[in-house]
Amino acid sequence: MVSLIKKEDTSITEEATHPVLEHAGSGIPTPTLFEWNRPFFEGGLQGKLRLQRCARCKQLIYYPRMLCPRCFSPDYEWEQLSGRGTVYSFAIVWRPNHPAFTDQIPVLLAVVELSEGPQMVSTLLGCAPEQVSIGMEVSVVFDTIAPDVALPKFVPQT
Amino acid sequence: MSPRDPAAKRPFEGNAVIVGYGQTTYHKRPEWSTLQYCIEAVRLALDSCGLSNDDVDGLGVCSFMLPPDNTATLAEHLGMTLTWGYLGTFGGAAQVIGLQRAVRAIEAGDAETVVLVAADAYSVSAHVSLMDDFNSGMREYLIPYGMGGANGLFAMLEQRHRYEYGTTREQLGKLAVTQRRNAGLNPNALLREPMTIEDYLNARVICDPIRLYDCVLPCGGGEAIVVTNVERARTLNRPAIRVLAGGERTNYGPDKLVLLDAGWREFAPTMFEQAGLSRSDIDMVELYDDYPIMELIQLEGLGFCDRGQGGAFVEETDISLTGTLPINTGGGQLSCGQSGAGGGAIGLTEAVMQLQGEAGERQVPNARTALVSGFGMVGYVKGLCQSAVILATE
Repeated sequence: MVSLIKKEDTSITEEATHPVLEHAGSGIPTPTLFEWNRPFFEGGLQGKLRLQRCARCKQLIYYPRMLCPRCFSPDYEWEQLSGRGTVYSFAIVWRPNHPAFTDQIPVLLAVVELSEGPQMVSTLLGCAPEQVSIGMEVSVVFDTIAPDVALPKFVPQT
Repeated sequence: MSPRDPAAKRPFEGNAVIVGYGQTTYHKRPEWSTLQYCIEAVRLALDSCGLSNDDVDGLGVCSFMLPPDNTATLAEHLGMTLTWGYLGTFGGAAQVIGLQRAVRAIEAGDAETVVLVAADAYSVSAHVSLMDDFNSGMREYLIPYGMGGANGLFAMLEQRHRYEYGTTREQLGKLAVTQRRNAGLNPNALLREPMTIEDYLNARVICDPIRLYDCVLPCGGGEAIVVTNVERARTLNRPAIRVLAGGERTNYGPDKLVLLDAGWREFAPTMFEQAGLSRSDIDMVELYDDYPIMELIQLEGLGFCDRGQGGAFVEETDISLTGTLPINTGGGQLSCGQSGAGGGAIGLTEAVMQLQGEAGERQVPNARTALVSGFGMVGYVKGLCQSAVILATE
């Protein structure tokens, strides 16, 4: 289960702009890390939501790519975002695909539209299914699922 | 990132026709291997038009679970020597895309007689494990969230469609209930017992707003059709079904995650123009029905109604077998079952059966034309591939 309590490790949270959460569960399938997505997942460990911004066409890129999907440039910079956005759509998942999530149901799956433009699919924490609505304002928290992976998830903005 | 003018596509020449079809028995729990479903569907299709393995020089295969086998090794099993082959990797859009490739190959003389087969030994557990490692975008950025497989993604699509356009559960339910009635007349459908709108609306919640009867039942099964040139077709004493026009798109609208609007909208005008038909000339539509919400999005994209009006269109239209626009006349995947990649071929088999006048109790009266639509290969959040063809009797 994800607990909405910040880690005690202040060496991480001092720099953090958003909460980094302990994840007590196990067996969560973890992403494969590549040169072009490692800073995204590692950024989460420091409480930072970072996306690639193409050095040529300046587009923000999500999901992380080896080349810019718009202009094909291999050059990009990692940019820290505000971590704020709105719910574009959502679903209440009672039957997660993978057994590692069965103790977390219902999973509140959502498309979050980040303030800076890109959309990403994530999950919502810290709110009940009946509280979720399209347009709801959310901000990012990070769920540490592996030593080198913290997933951006979202909580209602207070 | 828009492609060149869609109207620049060269029309089909009209020299390639469909002459046969095969559909295996569907098994709720697969009783055969994927290879067996493929072989049986091919055998049935060739039998239906009096052809044999040595008449075939082109083979197309669409399957998720066939590896380590493939087009070449299936040809070896079937004793076919090929001058043309296709391995469809466009999920539920792949058979309809394969048909268009086969038409071009026959027109070019690369092959004379092509069999297209789509099959899988699909079960609930096979579906779940396939989804966990479906592709890199899904594996890295969706699966770690517990996203509920395809149900989660299409539930978000339905939620947004409802928010933007006021689409109701009753409108979606009309599709599921009508298709179930059609399936009652289809001896091969797995789900044939009558279903009411109340059954649909009150079914178990799987992934809100998606409930049980929005979801397809994974099954084992296979579909195949035979395509040849008109000269060869004349020797077969079978109704030849013309392929008037078609279209395909992959990765349409790359910046969008929620596919309210898809590639059909871009290629449908040219497809209808090249077919020389308007929407009202279409006698039946076979839509890709992994979920009812996708049927609405296809009806909108194909131009049967305006953007966002799919729900209202279905509500106002008689979509039954004797109606103005029969939809998914054999019950579709929602009532027949989804045999993996075979699910993307079920509409094509059904349309050929209908146009050859062999649909038995569910025969659409005076059926002369059919539109078949395909959709598939969910990548990061959305289905990446859309396809469609318009078929007609001679």
